[in-house]
Amino acid sequence: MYKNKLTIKKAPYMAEMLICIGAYLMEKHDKVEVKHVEKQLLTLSSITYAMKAQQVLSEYGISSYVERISREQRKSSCGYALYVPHRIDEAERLLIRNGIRVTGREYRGDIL
Amino acid sequence: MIYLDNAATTYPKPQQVKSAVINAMEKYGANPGRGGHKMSLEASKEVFACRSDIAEMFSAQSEEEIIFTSNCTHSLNLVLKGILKPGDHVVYSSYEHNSVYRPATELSKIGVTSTVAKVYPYDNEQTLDSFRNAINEKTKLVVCIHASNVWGVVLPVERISALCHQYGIPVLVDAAQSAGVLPIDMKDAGFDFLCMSGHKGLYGPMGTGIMITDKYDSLQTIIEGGTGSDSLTGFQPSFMPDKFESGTLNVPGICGLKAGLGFVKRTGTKAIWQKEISLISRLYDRLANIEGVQLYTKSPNQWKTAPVLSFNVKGHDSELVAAHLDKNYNIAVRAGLHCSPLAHESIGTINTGTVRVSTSVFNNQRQIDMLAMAIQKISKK
Repeated sequence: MYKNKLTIKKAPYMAEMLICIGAYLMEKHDKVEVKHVEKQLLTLSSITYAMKAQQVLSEYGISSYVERISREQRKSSCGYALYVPHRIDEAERLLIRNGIRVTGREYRGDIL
Repeated sequence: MIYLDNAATTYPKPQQVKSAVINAMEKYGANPGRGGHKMSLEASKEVFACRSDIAEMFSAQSEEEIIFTSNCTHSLNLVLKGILKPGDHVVYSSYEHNSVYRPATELSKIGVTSTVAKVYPYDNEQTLDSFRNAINEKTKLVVCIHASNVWGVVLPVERISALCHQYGIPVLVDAAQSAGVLPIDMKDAGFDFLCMSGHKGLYGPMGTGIMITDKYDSLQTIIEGGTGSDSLTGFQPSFMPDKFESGTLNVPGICGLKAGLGFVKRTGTKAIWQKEISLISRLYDRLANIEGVQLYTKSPNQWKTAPVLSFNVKGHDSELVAAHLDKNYNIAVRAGLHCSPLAHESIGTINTGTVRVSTSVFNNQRQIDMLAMAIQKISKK
C-alpha cells in the first residue's frame, strides 16, 4: 500500500525521467543516423581495378557501387572508390585475396 | 563487290559490331575513367567488359593486362621501344611485317643491333635452329610473327617461346594475322607479349589494337599523359593498364571490338578457320590448274596455314592484276609487298610482289570461283 502510494506520488517524476531518457536516446539515434549517412568506401588504384573489384564482389553476392571520392581523399588512389553498403570488411578481404590492391578506406558524406 | 582483302582489315563487319559502335556513340558518349557521372561509369564498364572478353579469349591472367592501342603497329612499338636500349640486341623472323622491321631499324640509330632469323617454311626444326643461332648474350627480345601476312605460313611460336625462355629472353608474338583465326593461349604458350589488331580476325572496327602482357614492370612507356588516375603527380602511373593507356580511349571502337569478339566466340575460332581454309584450298586447287599462275606455298591441305594465299600471273605485274580485278570484276585483292619486304625477300618475290587473297568468314565458294575464273582470263592475255 505504502509502496503503491510512493509509486503514484513519484509517477510524474518518473514520466519526466522517461521523457528525458527518450530524448537522450533520440538524440543518440540521430547522431548514429548522421554517421550512417557517411558512406564508407574502399579506394582503389585505377578505374579498371574498381570495375574488377565490383565484378569480384558481385560473384560473392556483395553489392557495391563505383563512385568518385573527393580530391583531398585521393592520395594514391585513382579518384574512384567502391561503396560497399554491407559486409565491407569481408569485401576488403575478398578483394585482397583476389589480387586487387585496396589502397585504403575513406568516408564520404553525400550532399543531402 | 567481292572483298578478298581481309588480311588488311575484315569487311564486312558483323551487324552486331556496327550496332555496338552506334550504340556506344549514343549511350556511352562520356569519357571512361574520368568522370564520376553515370554515363562515364557506364562507358568504363563497357571498356572493362571488353578487357574481360579479351582476357578470356587469349587466356590472359587478368583484365589489367589488356592494353588498348590504336592498332597492332602501335602495340608492337610499345614493346620494342619499351624494352630495347642502346647496346641491346633483338632477334626477329624473316617474315616480320614493317611494323617490326621499321621500329627495329629506327632503334638501330640508338645502338640497338638486330639479327634476322630465317624462316624455313614447313620445316619447324630448321626455323628453330635459326632462332637459336641468332640469339646472343646481348639479346633482350625475340619477336616472331604468328602467321605470315603474305604466305599464311604459321610459325612455331610456342616452341620459339620455350627456346627463348631457356635463355631468359622475353618473347613478343605478333598475332595480327592469326588472332580470331588460330587458337592462342598465352598461358600455355608462355608468350611474354602478345600484340594484335582488333579490326582483322576479331572483326572489330579499324583503330583498335591490343597488347597483352604481365611483364609490364620491365617495359618503359613511350607515351605519357592523362590517365584519369594519380593526377596530382607528374609521373606516369606504374600500374596497369594506366601505365600504357594515356589519353582518351576509343570507346566506340572498343565497344565494336567487344561485339566482334562475341561474334568470333559464338562462331568459334576453329569453325572460322575451317571455313576460310576450305575457301583458300579451293582457290589453291583452281589456280594450280591454270597455266601461267605461279604459286609459292604448299597447298593448305598439306600444311596448316592461315587463310592467306599469294600468287603471281606470269607476264603480269601484280599491281596491274589487282587493278584489273578491281576494275573489270569488282574483286578487291591486295598486290605488292604487303608492308613485308622481308617476307618477300625470303621467298624471292621482292622485285615483283604478289597478288594476295585473304578471306573472312563472310566469303563463299561462288566468290572464290569467280576470282579463279577471272585469273584464268587474265592469264590468257
